[in-house]
Amino acid sequence: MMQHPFPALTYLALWDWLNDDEEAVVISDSFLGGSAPLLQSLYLTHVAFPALPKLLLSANHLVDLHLRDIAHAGYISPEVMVASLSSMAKLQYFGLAFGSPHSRPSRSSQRPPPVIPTTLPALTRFRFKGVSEYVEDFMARIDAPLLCNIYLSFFNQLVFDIPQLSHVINRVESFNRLNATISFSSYGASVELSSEAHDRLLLEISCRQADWQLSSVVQFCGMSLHPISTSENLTVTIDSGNPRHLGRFDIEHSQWEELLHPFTNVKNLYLAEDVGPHIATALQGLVGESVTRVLPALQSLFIAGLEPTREAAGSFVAARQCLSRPVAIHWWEEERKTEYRFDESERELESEWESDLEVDD
Amino acid sequence: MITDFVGAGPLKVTIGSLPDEVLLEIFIFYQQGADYNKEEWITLVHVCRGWRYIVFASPLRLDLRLRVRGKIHTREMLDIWPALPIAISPSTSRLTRVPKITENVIAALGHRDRVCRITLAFHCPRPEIGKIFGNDAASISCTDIPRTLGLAER
Repeated sequence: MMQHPFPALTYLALWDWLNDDEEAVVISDSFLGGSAPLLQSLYLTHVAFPALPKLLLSANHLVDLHLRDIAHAGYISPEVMVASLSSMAKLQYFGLAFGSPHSRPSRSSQRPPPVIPTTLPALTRFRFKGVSEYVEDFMARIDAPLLCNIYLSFFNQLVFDIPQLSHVINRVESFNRLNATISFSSYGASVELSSEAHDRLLLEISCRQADWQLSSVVQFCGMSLHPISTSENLTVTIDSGNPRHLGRFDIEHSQWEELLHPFTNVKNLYLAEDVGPHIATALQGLVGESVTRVLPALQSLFIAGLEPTREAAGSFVAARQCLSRPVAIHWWEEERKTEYRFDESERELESEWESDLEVDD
Repeated sequence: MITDFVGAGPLKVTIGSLPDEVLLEIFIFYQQGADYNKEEWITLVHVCRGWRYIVFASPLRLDLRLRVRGKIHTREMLDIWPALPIAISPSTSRLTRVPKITENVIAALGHRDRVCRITLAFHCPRPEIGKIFGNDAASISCTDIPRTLGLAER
């Protein structure tokens, strides 16, 4: 029935709720007759569609492309994916989320990116979930001059080697003086840089071990990223919902110190109640020149809760005072986040689905 | 009754005396504020022949669509209404409980030139998905779809 063309189709959403990679719905090559000339929005959730690139080549009017939880059977290489987007002058949102870390570029078949990248002139929002090798290769092949909202979610991996991605991030002009928030929780860590407007860079790493979380975040923050070095407000939080998880953050002080190093322009540091002791103790341990080398522009330290945190921070403040770099300590009433961060566009999508499917005749 | 205070004094007119263009603007405003799910424009076409004419004369501006959720007999519905764009969004959780849904969705998919929107969430048995996607050409395949449906297996 759906192997014929649907010439008036502007919106297509397919969602397999079973979400089982072994039994993923696989869409055949002949789906929609291989073309969708008027399609503006395409949402595929947990389906495998190996022939999708061919369909996308015909979808020149596409504005929103959401590929979520792609089953491994539907893996599409960065090179083929970029080629399929090459004629999409109207594409504003591109979301690409793989369901498994097995979906990754093969080193043997990987070809170097072309000298002239593919321009996606209207792309403003990019969301990715997968392995860093994929996004690195993908980013090397595109030029998206209007991109200002990037959401990256990586599966657990020990080493991130993403120079191309860093280059893309550093080229976004609006990624300047954004507010930075680093969060740790029992299921992952994130670094968010955002402004009051829609400019946003969010990196998530899925891993449960606290030391790995911290190590990943340190790696990302240490990549000489312009939005990090220009950020003036930094908030660090730990989701206190899981006490066992909290205890695991008793990590050596040098790691916490290393985390703060790249934030050379931070004036205001906000420490949530559960993370305060770790960072304040790390600051307390600074001696000599390192007292001013870490957070050199810091003016105010906002601390939520615990008295020991204030005491530890007090030693750091006194040391800074001696070096004529005063830092004021303030009480901070932390605004607890009850909900895990979730991409706004995903929330809109969920709501649209509900609206479409909830009501029966 | 509409009261117009512009001019010499209050002027009372009935809504029926408003020009079609003005009524259309009112309908568009009404439609924009309506719940996407409610298909409020259907109420408008039931008011009178004149309103029905205005609504059906501007399907694009009013973004008219016939929504197929599968429970109402689609062939009958499509016979009654003008050839408006079709939006298909069946309640797939009911596919097995209400056998007619699959049949009705398939009937709507038959109007390929008019289908503008398809929303399918599969939380139904795989054979039902196979029926919707077409069991003759293997446009969709799953490991657990019986061979009797003629679908290719992975």
